[in-house]
Amino acid sequence: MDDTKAAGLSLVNMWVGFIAFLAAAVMGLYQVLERSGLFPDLESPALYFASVSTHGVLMGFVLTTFLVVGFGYYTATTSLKQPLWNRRLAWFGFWLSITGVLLAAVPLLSGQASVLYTFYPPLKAHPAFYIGAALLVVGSWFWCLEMVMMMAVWKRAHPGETVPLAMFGTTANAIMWFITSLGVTLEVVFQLIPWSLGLIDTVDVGLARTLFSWTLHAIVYFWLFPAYIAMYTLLPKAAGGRLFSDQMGRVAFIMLLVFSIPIGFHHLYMDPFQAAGWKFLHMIGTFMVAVPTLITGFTIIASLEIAGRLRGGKGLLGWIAALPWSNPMVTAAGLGLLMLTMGGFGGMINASYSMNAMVHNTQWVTGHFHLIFAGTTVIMYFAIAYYLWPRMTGRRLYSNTLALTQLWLWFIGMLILTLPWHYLGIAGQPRRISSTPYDAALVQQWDASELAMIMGGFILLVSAVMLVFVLVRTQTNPQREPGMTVEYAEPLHPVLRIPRLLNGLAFWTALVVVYMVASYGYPILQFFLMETHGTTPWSI
Amino acid sequence: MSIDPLRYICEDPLERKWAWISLILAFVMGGVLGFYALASNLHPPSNVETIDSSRLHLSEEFAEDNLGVKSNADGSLTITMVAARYGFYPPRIEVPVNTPVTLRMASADVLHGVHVPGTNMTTMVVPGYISEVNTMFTRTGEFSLLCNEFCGLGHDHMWSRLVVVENSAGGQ
Amino acid sequence: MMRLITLCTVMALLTPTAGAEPSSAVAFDSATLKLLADADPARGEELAKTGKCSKCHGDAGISEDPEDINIAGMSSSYIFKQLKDYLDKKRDSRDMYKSVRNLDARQLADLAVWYASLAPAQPAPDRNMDRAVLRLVFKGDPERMIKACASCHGRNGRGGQFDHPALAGQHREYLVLSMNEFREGDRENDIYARMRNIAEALTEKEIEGLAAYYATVVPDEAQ
Repeated sequence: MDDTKAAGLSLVNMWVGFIAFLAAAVMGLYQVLERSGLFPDLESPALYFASVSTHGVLMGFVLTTFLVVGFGYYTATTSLKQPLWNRRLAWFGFWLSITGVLLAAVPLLSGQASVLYTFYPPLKAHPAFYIGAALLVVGSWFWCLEMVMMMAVWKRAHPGETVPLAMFGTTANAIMWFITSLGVTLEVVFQLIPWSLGLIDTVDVGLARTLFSWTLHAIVYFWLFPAYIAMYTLLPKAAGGRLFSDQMGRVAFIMLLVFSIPIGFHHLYMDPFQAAGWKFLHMIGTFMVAVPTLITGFTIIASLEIAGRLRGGKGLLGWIAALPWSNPMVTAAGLGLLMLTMGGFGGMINASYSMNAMVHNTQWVTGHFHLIFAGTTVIMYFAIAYYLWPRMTGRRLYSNTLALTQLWLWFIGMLILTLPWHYLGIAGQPRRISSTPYDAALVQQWDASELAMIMGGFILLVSAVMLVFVLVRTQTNPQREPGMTVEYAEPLHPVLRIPRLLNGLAFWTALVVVYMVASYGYPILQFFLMETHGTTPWSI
Repeated sequence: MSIDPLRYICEDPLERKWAWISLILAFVMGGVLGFYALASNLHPPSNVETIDSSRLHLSEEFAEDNLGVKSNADGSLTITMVAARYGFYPPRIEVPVNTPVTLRMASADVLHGVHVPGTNMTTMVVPGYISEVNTMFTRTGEFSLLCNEFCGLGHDHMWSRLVVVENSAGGQ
Repeated sequence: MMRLITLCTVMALLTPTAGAEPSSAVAFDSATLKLLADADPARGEELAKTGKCSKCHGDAGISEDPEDINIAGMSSSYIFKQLKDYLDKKRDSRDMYKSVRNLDARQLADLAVWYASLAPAQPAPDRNMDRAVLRLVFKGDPERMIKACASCHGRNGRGGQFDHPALAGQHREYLVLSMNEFREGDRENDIYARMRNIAEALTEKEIEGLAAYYATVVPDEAQ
């Protein structure tokens, strides 16, 4: 099916994401340099916190949303072999989101929205920041609608057939994103925008944080889904093998859809305004959401083993060396899985209820999310880019060697950056600080780690520049390679029949809604039943 | 061979074993934490009490002359503190070792967080709500209460001191 | 659950009835903020004229006597708090009490926004660049638990929200006077003793140095 029409839309979305990524990477380097204490002229809380806020928004809201959306459009059209459901709406959503980004960029870059990526009130940003954020999110909802409608149209045209796994995952992600983004949207639309405009005097900080927590966990799965989709559906063929189990892939995607949203209270363990019982309930759900990742680990590694053995690998571990490591998708997945193991372990510590007290709001958390998001998820974004760019542009990948080098540099840089960060957290360093004017005994323990991290920052920036360089050169490569298509994985065992529950998402969506009411219903309602005291705006 | 319910969704026996291991792991971790939660009363701070932070110094509990360390009838201590940009007040508190303490803290302005490296004392301090942490300090020495949630441009400088002393020398 | 709701309600009802003497009766709650938002600088100008505030504070809010505070350009919330503290006798000054005792809160707010609207005095260009002083200003002294002055008073000394006053462009003598008042406990309206703790920990020499850093005029004798 001619997919060139989606290619343009996908390319534009993904370019916005990677440009944001590059700008944010530069800020990241500034931040490590400022924190090192070696450059007194760089030290400035105003500049540092403006940078951290912008870096966080660019990496966590812009890179991610535009990349997921772009990848989603291309996956939908190529896996279903079907055109976009409504091109106009898809482009409208893009323009709405871009407008939001530009609107929010102005206060961010001028220091009027240094409220960090989480923008917790009562620190107040310029209203344009909140309005921009809302537009960005609402623009992405058009993508959600497109994904759902495309799958529905396909199912009607192919009654009884199995929905391609890549689309099943993409649509599950779209539904999950829509439901989870409602939390932050409610907070921004009903609390933060009117409050920052002076239309209401106070906001209840407890309610704001509760609503944000609704979004805060599943948003990372919104980011992670494309990485998993690529591992399940693009990696096996790239490695020269088969997908070990198509069915377990669906099970994993369904479990992610059901369990990633109603567990947000593990971000609020240390907050006084929610009772322990609710936090305990969310904790159970949080451990359940580790299960699809564990299952995915098995399926992907098993799929790689098939590929390795097909290529002649022998013995218990010999298949590893036999894999085509010269393929960027394979290298990225291998490195990504390593980072997933380490970051996932850290995540389980964070999930551990009262034990979270040992790491809450320390630099452990910063190390954790850089390792798992900037590590696993983003390295797979690179892999997706290297895989899709030639197919979307019809031109040869500029340099396979550069791509591989870039991936390895990202991995090494990420480990150098994040492993000391975990240590710093255990050694008590708080997060979100621009300097360390504390007791000398405490600070001395931290010095070596802080210096090591500068190296990580440099390596990562070099890697980031390399990525954009390769993509630009690919986009403008005079060597064309027309006719390349996306080669989706074939399962080891052909899918003869599939239970309906594993071929549709309506039931699971309803289940999420019920689960959400159970785990967030009363915790939100309580704010309207008890007498609370709101807080007036505070400047930074 | 007993009927394995996962058979309906997972064909491969090895993968099925792994799925069971994953599920059991999730339940065991949750169970261990649940056990300690119930048996040792190990819960994160969750007292759900409201207060008007904008009038904090005019309240009874967080009035200026009510801050600090006070003994309770059962031998435990209550530490009443305020988090306000940019410090924790009173800035120096002294507590005897191995004595149950209840920390009650409220914010006079914005969101703060406080943790004490080297102990398990940590909580968010949310305007409009009172935070309560129950713990015991098991080592003597000088510790720092550090603010760990971004509260403004002076956030880096927000910290105070905790001194844990031997029992005989301790007190209010 | 009912117990919890009852407890919260009871606590909420109890909070207005303060216990022992708070150091200031001013709280920046919604009511106070509304008072300041509705205040009229034109009325404030009138009140300043009839009250002859310029006798000590100058026509443009910049005083001639360096022991009298420059009030031009300070935040309205800070000025309001000090005026109200004088009125409530939380801050001790016969002169200021006499000046404000016949005014109500609304008029104090008017005065506050009037003086806040005036152009502030500028710090002298050759500020004291003593390294020890600079270190105190931007890094504080962790050992003595002295915070960086800049953390509350702003990196450029222009103050922070509500009751974190601007220091830049203030008279050196007035700053020394105020710090000594905090040090000796003669001034107690810093809620939670925030300034008293700092002033007690600083040495006299440091107070002089910091005052000179923030001041508008560096007197001949201090050079």
